[in-house]
Amino acid sequence: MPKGRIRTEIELSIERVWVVVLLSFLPIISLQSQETWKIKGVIKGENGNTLPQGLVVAQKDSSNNYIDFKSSNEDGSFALTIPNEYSTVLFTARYLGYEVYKTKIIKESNIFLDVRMTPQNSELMEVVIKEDRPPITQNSDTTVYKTAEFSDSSEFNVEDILKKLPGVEVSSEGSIKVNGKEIQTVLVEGTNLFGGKYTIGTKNIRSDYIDRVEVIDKFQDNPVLKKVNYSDQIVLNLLLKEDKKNIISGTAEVGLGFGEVIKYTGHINLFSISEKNKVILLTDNGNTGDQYDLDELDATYGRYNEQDIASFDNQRFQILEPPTIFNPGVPPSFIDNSHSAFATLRSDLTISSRWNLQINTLFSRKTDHQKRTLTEQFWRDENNYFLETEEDLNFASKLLNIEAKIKHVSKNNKVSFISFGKIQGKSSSTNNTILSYQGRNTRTLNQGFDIQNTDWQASNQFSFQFLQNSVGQIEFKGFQHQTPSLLLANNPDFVFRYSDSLIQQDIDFSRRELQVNARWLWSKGPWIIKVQPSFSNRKTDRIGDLLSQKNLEKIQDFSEKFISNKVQVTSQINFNLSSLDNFSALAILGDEKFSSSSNVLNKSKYSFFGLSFNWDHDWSSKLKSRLGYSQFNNPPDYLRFFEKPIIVNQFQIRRYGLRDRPESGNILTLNLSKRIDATMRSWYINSSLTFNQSYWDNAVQFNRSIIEIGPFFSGENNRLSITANYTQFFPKIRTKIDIRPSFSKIKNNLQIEGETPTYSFSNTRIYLRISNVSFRDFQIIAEQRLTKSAINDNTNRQFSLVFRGDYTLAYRPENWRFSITYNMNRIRQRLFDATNFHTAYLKVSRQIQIGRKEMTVKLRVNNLFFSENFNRILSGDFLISNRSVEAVPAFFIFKVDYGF
Amino acid sequence: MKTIILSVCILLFSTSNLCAQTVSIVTYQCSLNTGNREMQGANTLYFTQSEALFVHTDYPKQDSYTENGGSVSYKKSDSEGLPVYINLSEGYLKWKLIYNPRIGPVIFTDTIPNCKWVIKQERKQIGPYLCQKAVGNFAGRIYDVWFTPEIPVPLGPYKLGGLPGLILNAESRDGYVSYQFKKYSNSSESNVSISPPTDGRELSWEEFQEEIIENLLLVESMSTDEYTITNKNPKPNWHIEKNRITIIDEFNAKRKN
Repeated sequence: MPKGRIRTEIELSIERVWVVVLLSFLPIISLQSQETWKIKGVIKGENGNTLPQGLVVAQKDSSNNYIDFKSSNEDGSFALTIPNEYSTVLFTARYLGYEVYKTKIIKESNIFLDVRMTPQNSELMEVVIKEDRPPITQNSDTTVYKTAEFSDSSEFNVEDILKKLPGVEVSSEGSIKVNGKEIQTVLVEGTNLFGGKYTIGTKNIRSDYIDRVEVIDKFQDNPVLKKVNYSDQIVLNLLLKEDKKNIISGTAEVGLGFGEVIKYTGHINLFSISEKNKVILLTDNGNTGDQYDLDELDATYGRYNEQDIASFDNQRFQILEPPTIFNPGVPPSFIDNSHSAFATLRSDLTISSRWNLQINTLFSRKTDHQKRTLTEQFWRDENNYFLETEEDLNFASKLLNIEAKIKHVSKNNKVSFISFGKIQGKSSSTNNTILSYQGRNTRTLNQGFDIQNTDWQASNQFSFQFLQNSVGQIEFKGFQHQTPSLLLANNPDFVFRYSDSLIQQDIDFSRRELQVNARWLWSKGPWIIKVQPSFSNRKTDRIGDLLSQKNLEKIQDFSEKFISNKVQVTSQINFNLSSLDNFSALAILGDEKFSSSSNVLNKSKYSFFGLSFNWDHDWSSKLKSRLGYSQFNNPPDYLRFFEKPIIVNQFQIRRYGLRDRPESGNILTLNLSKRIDATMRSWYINSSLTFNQSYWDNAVQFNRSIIEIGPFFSGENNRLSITANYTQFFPKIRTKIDIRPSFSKIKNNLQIEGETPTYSFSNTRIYLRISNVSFRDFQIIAEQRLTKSAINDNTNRQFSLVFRGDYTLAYRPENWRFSITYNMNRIRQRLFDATNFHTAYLKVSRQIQIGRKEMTVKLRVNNLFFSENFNRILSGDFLISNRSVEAVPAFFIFKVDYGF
Repeated sequence: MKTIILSVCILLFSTSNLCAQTVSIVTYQCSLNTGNREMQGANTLYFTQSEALFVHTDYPKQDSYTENGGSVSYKKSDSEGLPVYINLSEGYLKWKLIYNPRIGPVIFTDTIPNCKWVIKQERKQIGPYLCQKAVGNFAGRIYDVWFTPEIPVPLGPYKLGGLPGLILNAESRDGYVSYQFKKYSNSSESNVSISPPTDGRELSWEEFQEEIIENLLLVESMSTDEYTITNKNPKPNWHIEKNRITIIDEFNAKRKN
């Protein structure tokens, strides 16, 4: 038989099989098509009119298991299809303005319903949903907080309102973090008026000026760079109320009072904010101890770090430091009699559509005086010594800062040029008389310090777009700092303190730095590439003399030079594979050469490199992961610990001992973070769980695991959050557990707030605030803080316990506000170092309406208990000492606060 | 007496008729992560049993021209708030789009989108309404929505609908689009009218494509040696409807071929 014939038979048999299979399915298909029944009908109104678009539903029962649903046709007719498995269904017809029609229907062959709807007796009531979450909106990279929703009218400045925004942390110095990330600057209506020193704005602008606060992630000010998506800056943007814009407006508070000296205060803010030009004048003057001044600026941004000067290892020269104001831990107004004057003018002017000019000036002056005594009793060589010292200290400081920035952007947004210049002069002097009594002998020391800093800084940045997706940048930065300081000490009696009776110390410190950076940024589709070669040259000179004033003989002198040249290339590649996957790679290669007149450096040259890869994946909107690998050798300071880079101020000298560079090696990291959002009854639960596993392979090989969990529960009047962090190192170097619960509850006018961060169990802080509006307008607020910190290891034992209570009784009838606060402090430390003090203050304010404007008249009385001194007692095995600071005596001050 | 009863009946009848003409008004708070900030804020849905009008209430009513540093942006307003009109009786939908200021507002007529919903057993209370969950796919995004049979219309925010009750809350799973129910009220005042958009040109999608391409060619012809001008598709997530305008890439691809 021919092969072809056989094939045909096989094909036929296959066809037959298919036919049989298909035929065998047919009855099932036909059976299935028969396994339904229909409910047909028509919906009509009360008077027989048909109702089109009415909603008809067939359900298994009332448990919302929908079998079929339809809208009625134009003639009111409908047909629902019900599978045969349902012999009974619940039929519902609904129509706006009519009562719900419900009936049970049992399976029959021809069902036709004539549904007669009855008009509703009452219309649907108006329903308004109240906001059950704080009014925060998130648009792309911007989170917007509407400040009125967080305000309770107790706020004075922007900082007070920022403290109340969820996710925003404000440190005691004023630096701001948003969701744990440090912000770089604060903008006003989108314009950077304060640079890095944003507390000038947050501590001086009044809270009632602010309508909204925006947190902007990936902020990019330069329109040329917007095309390459290059920014990791996070900034705050303050948006003013509409009625404060396009006019000259402001606030003024002036006050006069009496105490031991005449007390005064003057605080004036002026705003002229329009889209094109923004001008702000902020001033704060007075002697009530609560003014914004140089100390506030220094607290946040630091003085020029003089400690760097002393960090040369071969330093044998004894540098004499001027004494500073001593505060035992009380609000400054209780110890501070200083006179301060502060004024700053910030302006941003649009010269033309392409040119923009910023000029900022700042002036601050402060004089201060502190009287204090020190009594010391010590035992030495079986002898008992008693020393009493009286210190009369006078301080004076001045600062003048002028900054100018000019910016040009070309018409096509392809070229920009920014030039910045700054000059700052600062002088401070102290003049101290120290009297000391030992037995019957009186000894005197007169000291005079004079320090003058001069800084100048200039930088130019040129950005240009070339080719299709590339941006190039060239930067030149120059910096110079000079600090001559002079100490004159007339010391006939204090030979035990200094080596000679008359001393003159003269130190000149100067540093110059030049930096050139070139940058190429390229972005196309999912790719972003950055390559940055840079060069820096830094020269530091330090010359010092210690002269005996008697014969101007040199007791000691030194002269040191330090020169560093650094070349570095940084390359960064980012690949956004999809909205779910992101790859990034970073490579750094560099070389630094030193030359120094001292022998501080044990290496005069070193090379470094770093390589890091990260893969971020979004498994879902709630689950994210990061897998990272890094390898590096002698990484520079800002690359230590790759997952948490430490950015070091570029003008600081670091100790180049090189012994603290053990980080060379490999790190493998896996990070998983899961976000959980849920609603449970009236509680809203927002929780995040982070798991981080790292493996180090370097001089000390070890693993580290971190588990972080941060659930946040919020109900109508309740809030509870727990932040827990568990860190485990292998081999077992350290296990660390941090728990930070915080809660707030409001019930029947009683509000309880608390926070108990626990760090490694030995360091605990408990904060509890109970406030109650018990009847009418009276309010009782009790705030209690307990801070315990302990270090207990083989070499170091320390313990401190701080107990502080603030108890306030407030009465707030309409337009009035009275409050009296008693404050109690107890500080205990190991070796019996103890401080106890009590303070109190009374505040009365009254709001007065003048036309459409409001004016507030305030009275403040400080220190009702007339504490004369704040004592700090230190006791050791061979020593008892008591440092006593003279308190500012009681004073009262009347203030008038007016907004215009 | 009969006359009085008849009059009362007529009055009642006319009142019930009036009741049926009452317009329900629902306010939603729309939050968009798409970068198109004009569409977010308060949105309003006006509806009767047979037709509906969804309006982006906070959409700018006046054109704006802003210069910020080097960047210039011109925003075209819409007097009607980019409405979506739905006629349930006749089964069509008219909606408005502003693609760019030159083309101006364009009105399209479409069929009512047929979202495939899976109704879940989960229930929750939103205000006084008992709502049930449903999951469905609309315009490239998966939505979790909560609808209430107590307001018996197959409507919801924007073009979402087709469930046995009004959709009160809707959230896309990719986090880009969210509508939250804020307020329900009704009005029988004559100033509330539900009507299709009129301020714009009615075009078919094909005619619109031709205009975009014409515009693209016109803009490209304005290029100089210093700079070239090209149009690109908006980012896929820019609109509520994901990847809605992909005309330009298609055109460019064809042109290269």
